[in-house]
Amino acid sequence: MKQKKVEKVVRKYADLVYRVAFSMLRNKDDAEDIFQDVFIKLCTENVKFLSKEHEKAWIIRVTKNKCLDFLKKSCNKTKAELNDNIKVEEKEDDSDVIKHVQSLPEKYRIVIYLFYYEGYKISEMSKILDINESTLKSQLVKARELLKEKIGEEF
Amino acid sequence: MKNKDYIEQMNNIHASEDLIQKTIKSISNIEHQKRGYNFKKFIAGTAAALTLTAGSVGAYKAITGNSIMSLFGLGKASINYENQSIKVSDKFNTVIENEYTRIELDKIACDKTFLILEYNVKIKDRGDKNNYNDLSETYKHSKAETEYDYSQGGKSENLGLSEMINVNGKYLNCYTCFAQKIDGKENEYKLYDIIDLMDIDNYTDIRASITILSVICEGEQFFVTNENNNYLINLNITQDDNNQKNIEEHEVNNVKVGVKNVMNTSFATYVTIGVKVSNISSENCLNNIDFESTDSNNNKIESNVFLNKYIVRTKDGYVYDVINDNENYKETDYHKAMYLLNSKNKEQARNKVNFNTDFENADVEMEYVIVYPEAMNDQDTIKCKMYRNDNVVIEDMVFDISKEKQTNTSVSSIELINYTDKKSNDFIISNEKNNKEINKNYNPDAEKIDLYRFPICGISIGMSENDAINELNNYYKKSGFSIQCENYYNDGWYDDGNLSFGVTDGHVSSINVVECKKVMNEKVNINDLIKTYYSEEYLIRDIEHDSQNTIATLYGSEDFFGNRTDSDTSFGYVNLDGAGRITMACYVEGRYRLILSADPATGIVENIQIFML
Repeated sequence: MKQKKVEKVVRKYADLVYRVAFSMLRNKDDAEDIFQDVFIKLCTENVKFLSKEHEKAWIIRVTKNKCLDFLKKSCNKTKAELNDNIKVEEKEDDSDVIKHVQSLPEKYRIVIYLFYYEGYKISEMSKILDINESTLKSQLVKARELLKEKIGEEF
Repeated sequence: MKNKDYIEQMNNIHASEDLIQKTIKSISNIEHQKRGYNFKKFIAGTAAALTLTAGSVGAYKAITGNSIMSLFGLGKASINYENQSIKVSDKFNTVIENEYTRIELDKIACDKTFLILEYNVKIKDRGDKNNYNDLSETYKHSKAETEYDYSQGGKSENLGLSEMINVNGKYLNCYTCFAQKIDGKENEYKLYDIIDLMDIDNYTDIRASITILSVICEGEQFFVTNENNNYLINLNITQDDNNQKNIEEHEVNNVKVGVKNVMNTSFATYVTIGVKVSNISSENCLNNIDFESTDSNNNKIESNVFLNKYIVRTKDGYVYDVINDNENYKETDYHKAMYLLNSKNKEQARNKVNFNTDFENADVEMEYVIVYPEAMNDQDTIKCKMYRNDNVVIEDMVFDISKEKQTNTSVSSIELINYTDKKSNDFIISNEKNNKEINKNYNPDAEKIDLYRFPICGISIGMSENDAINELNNYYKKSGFSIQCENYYNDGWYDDGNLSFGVTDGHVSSINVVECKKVMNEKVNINDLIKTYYSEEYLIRDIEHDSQNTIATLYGSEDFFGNRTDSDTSFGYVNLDGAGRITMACYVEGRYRLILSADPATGIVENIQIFML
């Protein structure tokens, strides 16, 4: 892939990859590692896509998979899920809502992100995450319930 | 509802510019390495070997044993190579030399799997490495295959040849190249070309034409002279066919793997693993394959996935690409991984193949017996079996090396390909002949991967079986005669087209008129050519022709496709290659035309190839 295209691709999907990774890992440094891995895979493996949506879905899925790999390898997953009150990395403009979402277990965080932020339908998320629709629906419901408990109002 | 707050807050989370820049640089470095080392045929399974080989010249020095050929695969192949290679530089003058480089074809070895050429390469004059413009002028190089950005630094320390290889009439663009600095000598290298012959039909009679175009050293490209840069090599190979075929096959889910071939050659024992993946979808593709070989006592046999072959070729052509490129191959396609097995008297081998799709891993174990031919029953025997004496009779001049002056090229037909984006999801490809447009959907059955191939002109069109993708490649790619137009997507997003040509001779102004015949009844006159800032690009001005679309002025651009959004502007450029051939490209009324010409002496372009977008 040529330099210009690499730059184009990276810039186009930078925030998406970073946000997915950050949502899943809750840590800026780890998200940055995943960020690089995803784009290196995308740009050096010459993956072809049928459409922009296909490409975006591929990127999300690869990011998710790489995050999962990372969590497995580093045992972060265990640590994170044992402690729902783990301190989420602070950002300057961070406020309660995002912090509460980030305090959810990983499987809920990505669902919330894709559904609310990226605006994917359950059926689309099902393909991207390779999780069946009913599971996703129940995860979404559960995530909302947990958030309601944390925030004190509907999400 | 708090989800709106969530969205707002998420909007404030961005990847930093620093991270983006670092990532771009990392990718760029990887790409440079990939291009520079020509290791594209390796898959991830060969990562260890890759790292060792691609590491640095320093890494080479750490290798002991016969030579860098040990990196080619295993010790056995290395030893056999040493024993069987023929020193040709003693018998023939094989030197190609100009003021910048000296290349000498030193040794040749060949079996039915590989033709190995060993060169001595010397870089004589580096010039000013730190100045891109000066370098460009000094060496008259094109942007070359990599579009290497000299301003970015980080030059690799490798050495490679840009060459065009034709074996038995077939142009091979996949080969492997290793280089090693010669100890104690500044700017002198041993370079090994390993040319895969396994796609060649008649391996017993090898007729190879090797045209050396340039040397790429430490990120710089040094063109050789355009005359006398061609080796013709004829080899007669007599070797028993000891292949064992289709030994075993296993199927797990949608992946079928099998030992397709066990082949003993003079160099080594090769095992071909076939991998067939069915029901491919974007969510269900093969991601990786690992191989491991053990003997009957479960001891690991030294082996290495050396070569990957496949039916469907992509432009980069390595199996890792193909595996991930799930839209691009059919269920019936077999991907083959070539093993190089270093077995000592092992009569039985077990292959463990692990592969994973997006969703699952699977292990497959295959057991098979390697039947060695009697004469090659023992590794020592193999070592002593002089390939040179048995198979190549130098005295009778069956083996021959000579140089052939480069001749003019010609193209045998006129084709016009029209790519239009008429559907939302698919590109429709139309063929036009004799000015009569025949629109039709791209039919992969009728128009196979290599839709139009004019390798003699250095150009081919590679058509993937995915309608949305097309690509143009050419066989001079490594020389800087580069035409690429790839990965066009339906949303208009595309790889930057690259139309850069190689050596210019500086006599542009002497060619004032180029008459194009047989171009859909058009006559094109180029009345003036003006050299642009970049040595390889020229403006075309005052082009006249008798079609209804008169071009008044064409404006050059450093990036042909980079400016194509301006559909009102016609622009293009023309170029001369080292043989004086003219290549003209222009962009007319929203369509891109490329016209190739052949004969600079008469100015008549007898054969034209046009691409339209």
